[in-house]
Amino acid sequence: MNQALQDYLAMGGYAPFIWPAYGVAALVLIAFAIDSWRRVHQATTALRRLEAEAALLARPAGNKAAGNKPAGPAVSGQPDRQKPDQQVGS
Amino acid sequence: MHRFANPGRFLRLADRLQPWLITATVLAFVAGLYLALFHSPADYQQGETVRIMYIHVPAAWLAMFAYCLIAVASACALIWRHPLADVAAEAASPLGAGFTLIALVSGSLWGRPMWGTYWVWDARLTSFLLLFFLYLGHMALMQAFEDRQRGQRAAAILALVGAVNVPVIKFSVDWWNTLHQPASIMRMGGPSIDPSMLHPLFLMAIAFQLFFFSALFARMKAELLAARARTLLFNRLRAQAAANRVATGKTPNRAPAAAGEGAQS
Repeated sequence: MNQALQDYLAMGGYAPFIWPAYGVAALVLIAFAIDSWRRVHQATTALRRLEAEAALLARPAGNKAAGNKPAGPAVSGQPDRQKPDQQVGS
Repeated sequence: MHRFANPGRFLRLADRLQPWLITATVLAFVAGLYLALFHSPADYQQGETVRIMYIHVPAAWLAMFAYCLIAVASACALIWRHPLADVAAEAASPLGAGFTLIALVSGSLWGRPMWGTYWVWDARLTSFLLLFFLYLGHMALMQAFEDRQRGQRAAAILALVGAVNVPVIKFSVDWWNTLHQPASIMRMGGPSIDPSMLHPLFLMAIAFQLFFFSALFARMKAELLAARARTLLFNRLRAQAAANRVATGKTPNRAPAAAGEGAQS
């Protein structure tokens, strides 16, 4: 380590006060950034899953009401699966 | 203002704003830290410790700003039953507590070399510690009840009562003899700090502010999506219960329960 860098890091002898202060601030802000991102990510995936399941569940029930046609979830569920992405709006 | 009060509209607006907010936050921090740590001079009295100011003061400002925001949101929630206001207050509370913690710790680390002590029970420091406890109480009350709405209402009342502490913090250095120095930025006659230190201070304040709003919007979005998920789950369970009743031939002897807490937000 060269002298200039050492002098800079020593902060005129106040390094034990200045760097921990910056460290605590960095720690708190980074923790909030990660936590906030994680919350959005978790909520988005949970909602997507629920909406996809709701779309699949809604289909046979609708068909039954229309007159007991055999339900074809693989085909008829398709258009509904597009919906969750739009509703999440991310 | 009411145009953005609708949760769906808020989500769309927040999604559009978020990339810009995050970019601006990063840029402001890079520029602010460069000015604060490399470009600005050492103080003629305090030496290099003055660099602690560039995080201490913005964190303290944000701690008070976040509390004011919570108080206003709480008033809106109590008076107009605004769907977004409770969400905003709940999202802002941990962030405000975090900024208060930064201000307390950095102030303590600044006090040791300059005042000779980490802590003193003077009016400014004590009222600021009280702010930290108000934040903790607000967060605890939000979670204290099975019924979310009751927790939100109790927390809103605490936030409004605790708002009296904000002017006490601001004017504590004028009303009482404190070890903490009086205001040097927001004071009559303009700031008493040299521009070479004022510029990094303002840049860091802008960076903290931008960070606050990006984190706030992200947390509000997460809560709104979670509320939507709760509604979906509730509706599904209700539909399943109804289907089971039809299948087993039982007739419901009472109307289905009203939508729970998930449905209203």
